[in-house]
Amino acid sequence: MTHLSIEQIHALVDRTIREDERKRFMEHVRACDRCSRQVQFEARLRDALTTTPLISPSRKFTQQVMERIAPSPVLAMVYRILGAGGKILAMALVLGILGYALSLRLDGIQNDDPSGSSGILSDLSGLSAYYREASRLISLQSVNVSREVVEAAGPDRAKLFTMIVLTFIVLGAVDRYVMRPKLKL
Amino acid sequence: MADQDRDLIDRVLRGEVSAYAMLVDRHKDKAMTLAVRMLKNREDAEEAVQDAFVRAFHSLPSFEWRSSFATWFYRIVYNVCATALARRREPAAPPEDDDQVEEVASVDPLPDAMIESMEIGSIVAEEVEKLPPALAGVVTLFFLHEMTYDEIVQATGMPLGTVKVKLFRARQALRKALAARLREQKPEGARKAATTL
Repeated sequence: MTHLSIEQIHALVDRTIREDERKRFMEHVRACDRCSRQVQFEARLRDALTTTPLISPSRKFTQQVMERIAPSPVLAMVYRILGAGGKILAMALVLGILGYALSLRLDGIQNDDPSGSSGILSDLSGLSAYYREASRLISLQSVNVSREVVEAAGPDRAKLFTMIVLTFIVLGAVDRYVMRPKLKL
Repeated sequence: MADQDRDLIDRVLRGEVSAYAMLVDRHKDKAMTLAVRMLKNREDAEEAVQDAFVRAFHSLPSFEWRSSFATWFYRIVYNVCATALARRREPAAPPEDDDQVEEVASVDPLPDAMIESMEIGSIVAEEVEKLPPALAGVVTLFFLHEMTYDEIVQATGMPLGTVKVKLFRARQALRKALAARLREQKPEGARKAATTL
């Protein structure tokens, strides 16, 4: 007698076979003690797998999901303020850096430097194309505003450079460890 | 079940966002079970299921009912878990010769008396959680979520042959685990039966 293969037994208990096949297999199972026991075991295993207890999340789960989807008005306001504050900071930082860079460019022109690349940008050769493009795009008016900010920082460029780097680090840390976990981004 | 989902989704799409909470309540336990079994960590699983619900919410307007909401949603859960595993550098589906089902020697079942005496339900639940993520995921989708092979193919993106092989391997692993438990619980009487598995 040819016994049913384990795949055939799985198909039988899963009911993933045609009806005529199922009847044929069942005829064999009724006559074969070995296959009958095998089917019985696989059926019990299947029952156990389909009835295993479900795992529930924490009690506040649904509330937390809904807060992420539609935060309460107060929370939404806080998020908006934080978001706007972040954008303003980022914009101020970019303007500060561009302004500082352009102020050096103007310094270079005033000093009749034909290359116009005096200051720390001369050390950053890879940025020259970017710098020229930025010079073209930023109007002189915004440069002057930014220059005032830069000039207020005094002539100590190393100090200013350190300040910008530190600002980047602080902003990065706030974004990574405060804002993103808070907003679950 | 599907009709209730459809009704809730219609309400959400009409602007009644609070109806989504009912949809979350209906599916959170099954989603959590799938995530825990794949990620093997409750906190990570809860975070993954939350992410899946948020993603599903934002994607609801583009959901076209080509499958049930459950199939579509558990696909999102599976993918979020697979991404989390990838971040941990634990692939959800490790490369293997999936299209080849190894030849399995015909096995004798456990003696009836042994089966009857075992707390098979709780043992199986524990052993499923020990399965590798790829096997645990497929087993959960097939048995607990009652998905068809085709639905699992849709949900996991695996080929049909791979899905079948994984289910087969999972069952074999569970059979081995049950045999091992038998040896632990009844060292004398069960040894003979367990060795036949």
